[in-house]
Amino acid sequence: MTPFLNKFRHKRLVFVVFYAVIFLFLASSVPSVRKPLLNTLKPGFGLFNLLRREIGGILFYHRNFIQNEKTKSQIEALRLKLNAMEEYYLENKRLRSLLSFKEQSPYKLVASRIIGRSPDNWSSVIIIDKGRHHGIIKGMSVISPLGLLGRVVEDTLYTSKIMLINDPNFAVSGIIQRSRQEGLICGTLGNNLLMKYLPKDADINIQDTVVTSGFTPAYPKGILIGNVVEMGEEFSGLTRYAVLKPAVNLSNIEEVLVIIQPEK
Amino acid sequence: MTAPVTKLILLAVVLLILPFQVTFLPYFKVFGIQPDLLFLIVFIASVKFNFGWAVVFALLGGVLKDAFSIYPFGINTALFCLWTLAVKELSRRISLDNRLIQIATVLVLNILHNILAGFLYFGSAKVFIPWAISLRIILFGALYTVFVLYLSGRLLEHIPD
Repeated sequence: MTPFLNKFRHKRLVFVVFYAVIFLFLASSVPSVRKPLLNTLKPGFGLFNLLRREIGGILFYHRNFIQNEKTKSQIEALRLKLNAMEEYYLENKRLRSLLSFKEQSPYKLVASRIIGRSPDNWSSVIIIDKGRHHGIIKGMSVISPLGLLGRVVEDTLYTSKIMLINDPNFAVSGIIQRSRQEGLICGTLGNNLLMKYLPKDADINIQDTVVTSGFTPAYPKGILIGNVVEMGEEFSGLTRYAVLKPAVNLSNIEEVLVIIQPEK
Repeated sequence: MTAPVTKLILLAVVLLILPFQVTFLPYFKVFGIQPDLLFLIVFIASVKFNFGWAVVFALLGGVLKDAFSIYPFGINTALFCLWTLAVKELSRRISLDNRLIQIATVLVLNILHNILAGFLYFGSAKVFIPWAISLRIILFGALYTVFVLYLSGRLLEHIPD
């Protein structure tokens, strides 16, 4: 063996490999060596496996984290698109309803968008994007498919100012649809309107519908104004008043219809 | 920032504030009341600049507000000039550099502005506004305006005299 070994430079290494091979052969063939060996090496394997799992978890988490961030930004982008689509859908719905009302209405109407509101708290005014150029002049009535909105108080070539029905300077003659009782409807800057100068024996009940009487030339007859929600007696005791809830929610209107010709 | 540059920036702000007050601010109404940003700009100009420039800002702010109002033209212009004069007179007697004094001054002047504007708008007309709504406009309007001043208080500190 020695002459054989003399051929190798690293004799010690050859000896170690030789004995390891012998040992492994014995270990694989002799069960009594394998089992204790496995049992001895188990904690070491366990530790390495733990390390492997942790590193795998970190890599998996990092991958998931990156993917999660990408997914979140995609969700946000889609949410924005969805909101925009929702807005378009609602606008489409409103404009269809407006168009349908315009076509069926006996009045000649001009549709406009609201581009501004009054800058102070003592008036209830809106500014629309149509003016004299579109046939709108001062004094014309303004409505929505739900009811009366107000009247045009100022006009320029391309814009108009509209006084809403809850402005204190607004007044229109109205009648109770059921009993035909007439009264004067005024704005109060609040959410409700006031119907004044009702006689003490006026036939008026809660939930009665109030429409324009047609006595005020600017407002065609029969346009819905609102419903009675409360009644009371004036301070003088001679007349009564009724509080009306407007048919139109004045704080969330976006498009209006101006009556440029009362009858087509 | 030099004072002339500041004046130009504030002039530009006044021109931008009006479209903002007419288009976006109504969506920030609380109990149906919105703050008066043009009044605040006029007050800031009265405190920070000399009388001449303060009057320029008062005239500009008043004209812009009157242009979008339905009431007789000139009411807001006249009232803003009056408050500019009042602030200048007040600044001779007490220092308006203190934040609390500024807030108190704006509160009082805005209450007076709302009362006077209401009288001038409706003085001759037979209109009915419930007391509760009038008080809401006068008092809550001033409080909301003061709240906006408080939030923008840091801005005042950076404006040079």
